[in-house]
Amino acid sequence: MNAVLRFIGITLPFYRHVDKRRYGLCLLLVLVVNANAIAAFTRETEDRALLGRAVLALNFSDGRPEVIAPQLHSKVDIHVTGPIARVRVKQIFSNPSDSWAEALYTFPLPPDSAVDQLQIHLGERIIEGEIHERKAAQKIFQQARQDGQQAALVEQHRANIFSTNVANVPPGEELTVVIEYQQQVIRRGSRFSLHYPMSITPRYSPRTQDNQTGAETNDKPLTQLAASLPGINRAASADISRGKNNNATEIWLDLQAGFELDDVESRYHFVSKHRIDDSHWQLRLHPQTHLANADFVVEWQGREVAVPQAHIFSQTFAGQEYALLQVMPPQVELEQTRQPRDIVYVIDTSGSMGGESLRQAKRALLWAIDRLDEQDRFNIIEFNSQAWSLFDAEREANSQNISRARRFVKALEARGGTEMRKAMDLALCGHCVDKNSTERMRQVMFLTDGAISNEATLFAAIKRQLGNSRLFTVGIGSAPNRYFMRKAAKMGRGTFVDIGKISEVEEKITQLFERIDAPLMNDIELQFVADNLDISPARIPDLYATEPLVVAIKADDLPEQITLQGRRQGKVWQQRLSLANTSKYAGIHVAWARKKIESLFDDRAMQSEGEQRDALRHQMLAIGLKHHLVTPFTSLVAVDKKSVKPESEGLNHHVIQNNAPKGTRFGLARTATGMTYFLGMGCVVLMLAIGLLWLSRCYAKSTCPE
Amino acid sequence: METGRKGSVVIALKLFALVLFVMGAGLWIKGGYIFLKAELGQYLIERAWQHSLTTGNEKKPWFWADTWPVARLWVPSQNIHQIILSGDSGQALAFGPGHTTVSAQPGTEGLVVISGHRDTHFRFLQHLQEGEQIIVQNWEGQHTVYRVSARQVVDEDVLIAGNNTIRRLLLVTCWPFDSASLNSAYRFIVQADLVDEQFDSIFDAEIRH
Repeated sequence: MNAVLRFIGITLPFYRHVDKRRYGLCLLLVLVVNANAIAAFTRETEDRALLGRAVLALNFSDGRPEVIAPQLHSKVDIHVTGPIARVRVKQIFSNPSDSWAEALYTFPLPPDSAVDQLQIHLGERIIEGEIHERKAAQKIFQQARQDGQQAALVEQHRANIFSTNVANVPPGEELTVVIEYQQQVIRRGSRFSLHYPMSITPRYSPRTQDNQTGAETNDKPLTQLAASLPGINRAASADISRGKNNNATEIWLDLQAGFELDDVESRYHFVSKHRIDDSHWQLRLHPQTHLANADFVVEWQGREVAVPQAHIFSQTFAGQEYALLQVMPPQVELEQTRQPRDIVYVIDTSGSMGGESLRQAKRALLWAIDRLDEQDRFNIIEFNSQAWSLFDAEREANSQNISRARRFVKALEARGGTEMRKAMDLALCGHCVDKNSTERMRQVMFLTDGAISNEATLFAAIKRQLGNSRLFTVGIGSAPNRYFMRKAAKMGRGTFVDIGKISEVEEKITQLFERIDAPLMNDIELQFVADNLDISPARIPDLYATEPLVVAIKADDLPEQITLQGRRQGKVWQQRLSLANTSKYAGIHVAWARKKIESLFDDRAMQSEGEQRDALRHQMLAIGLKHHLVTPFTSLVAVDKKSVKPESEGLNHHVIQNNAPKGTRFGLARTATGMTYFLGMGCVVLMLAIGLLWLSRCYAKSTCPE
Repeated sequence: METGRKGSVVIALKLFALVLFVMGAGLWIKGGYIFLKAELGQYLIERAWQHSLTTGNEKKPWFWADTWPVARLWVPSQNIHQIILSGDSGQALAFGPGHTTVSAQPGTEGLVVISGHRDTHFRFLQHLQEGEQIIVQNWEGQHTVYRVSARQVVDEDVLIAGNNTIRRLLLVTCWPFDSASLNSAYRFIVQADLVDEQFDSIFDAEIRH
């Protein structure tokens, strides 16, 4: 409308000089052109006004006024020295609201991460965290919270899931929590990789929990973890989220491989790379270039001859000696006589696999089926809330069965829950192995995102029912539960791979097949004499091609030499390793403690007797306290001595959400048609036509009103 | 001279009017086509739905269709019976409300998302009140009863997180309802939570009437 008024304003001085009728025509034309714009403009202003009201009236939050939640951004510094990575995660909680805030943030870390440092940074001051038994740490934190002191608490909920609680963040200010952890780099041949997870795939908890075997801290569904904390202001509807970044993350990686590298790459993110020399690289992931919704994965390829076959580190800590060994057995060509095998593919089609994940899994499965040999027998099991198999038993991989399998796979859809136990029971039937598959390898391959919360129950089931089968896991999606993948494969005496992108499917599945054709070495032992000796893991798993042997040793006094013994294709094989001139490294005791706790936790999950469980718990507690390590039974807590919050002020509780993993969210459909628009515009245009017709008529007769 | 000019202006005006007439008629036909597709489509789809209910197989409503009925939506308070199609692409939504295939399947555990056009099938969403019942029948014939628990207007770029631990239905349409524009930057979402399932005998009887 403004445009029309402006037009009249500009042209009015000339009005007298022009033909009035022509002026009228021009005005009409301007009106036609503007009608559309005006209509759109008025609609928009009306809509905006209405939107404001509607949002308030229809807000999902149950009547409480909206509060501005604290924002979180993270800075991650990763230092890699040979096979060990030391990671410093800076979580910066900023409180943009006018009131005091406290926040809970649940976050993923790599499955073997050992958190051993906590600090709060308040401007220039640094407050160091202390290790306490979990309950005691909670008490200290609650006390500090009530007394108005700034405090942070870091707890472990699962092997790969931790949480940070912060209390008394002043209005308009920031509180920085610094967590440090140590983990080991994964080695495959001369290729190394490191993961930093940034999102959690929502876990499924089966309805009936087997409390007999589950540890109490381990089987609690994640959703309950947040809900169980008192007075937490949970988002009323967690289903709907804005497409914004909840946790801007900056990652800086300093890679000192210790040998020359051919190549360093970030698999899923764009990073800037800086080469210092052949063995020293620096990588930076800019926070604005990504949503923190997929695992950050860095891989580096060592120059073939330069990579050492054994990495040995040692350290003396509290009067005892610790060593960490990463040994690569010589990769001699395996005999090419491939044994016929029975292979069972298990595919997860639960709701969490929907979208991109299922597409990856289906493609991986189709590729795997195509690689089957005529002599192989196979079967496919699908599971979600139920589990069912394609064939009643493993069948020959002839063309008819393969085409049936392909049809079955193509028709798979994601729906329902993740009752993995049912699939496990179907796939690992100890007795059916003996019946008709003498002399055949039996392999079970699980394709899943591992979005389950009853890991301990499943591990126990694997251990019980494995028989002479081997279990392999293929992690699917942008944030698979790596702890489950790794552990299930370990329990199942197999190995695991991750597929993060659909374009990697063929490569990764081929790699896995090459690796699993036969174990490279089994019955592995370390032989040496020392006092108070402890080797973790206690039972060394079979090694597959390209896999290194990783063990941590604790002893009063380490010997100069140890012997590594194993069986390669039935023959005894030995290797001597010297511990005399090893590199010193500060965090070796942490590596040992982390491995020890992991194996104790596994033992505990298998135990049903209260007394033995208690004894194991005490053992873990002691290790956690001694090595300053966050475990399911010990937590780090840091409290500022100064009380900053006046007692009269309230405290708002917030839960900081993780970004949903990439590919598990979906946008909304386009739900407007042009129907009203077309009909309305049709009306306007027809009216105009009638008007013009009338104008032409009156013009011809010269009877138009002046 | 004067009459000649006058005559050409008249002809020009008449030609312009004719062009506008054709345009107006074209727009009406286009709008009417959308309306007819929405109305007639449901007819053909209803037949396909009955077929798939009795045989248990999915059936396309017409042989070149790229969608098929997956469920039936019943809102007693609004007297609405609609067949829900597979997929929320434009092609499917033209003929009926569409089920977002990556969300949970109707009648199963999880978050079920159904979208519809605001000016045809899902126009009734604006009248839906909290506490009203929505019944979804899936292709296995099983009924799931939901009750409207909340309504909200959101930006079009929000993302829905798949969730397999709850039983919830989201009905989505464009907002505001009376806007005539081709696109909308907002969505109106009706959230309904599970009341109970397995009312089959009662509802079957009622539906047959």
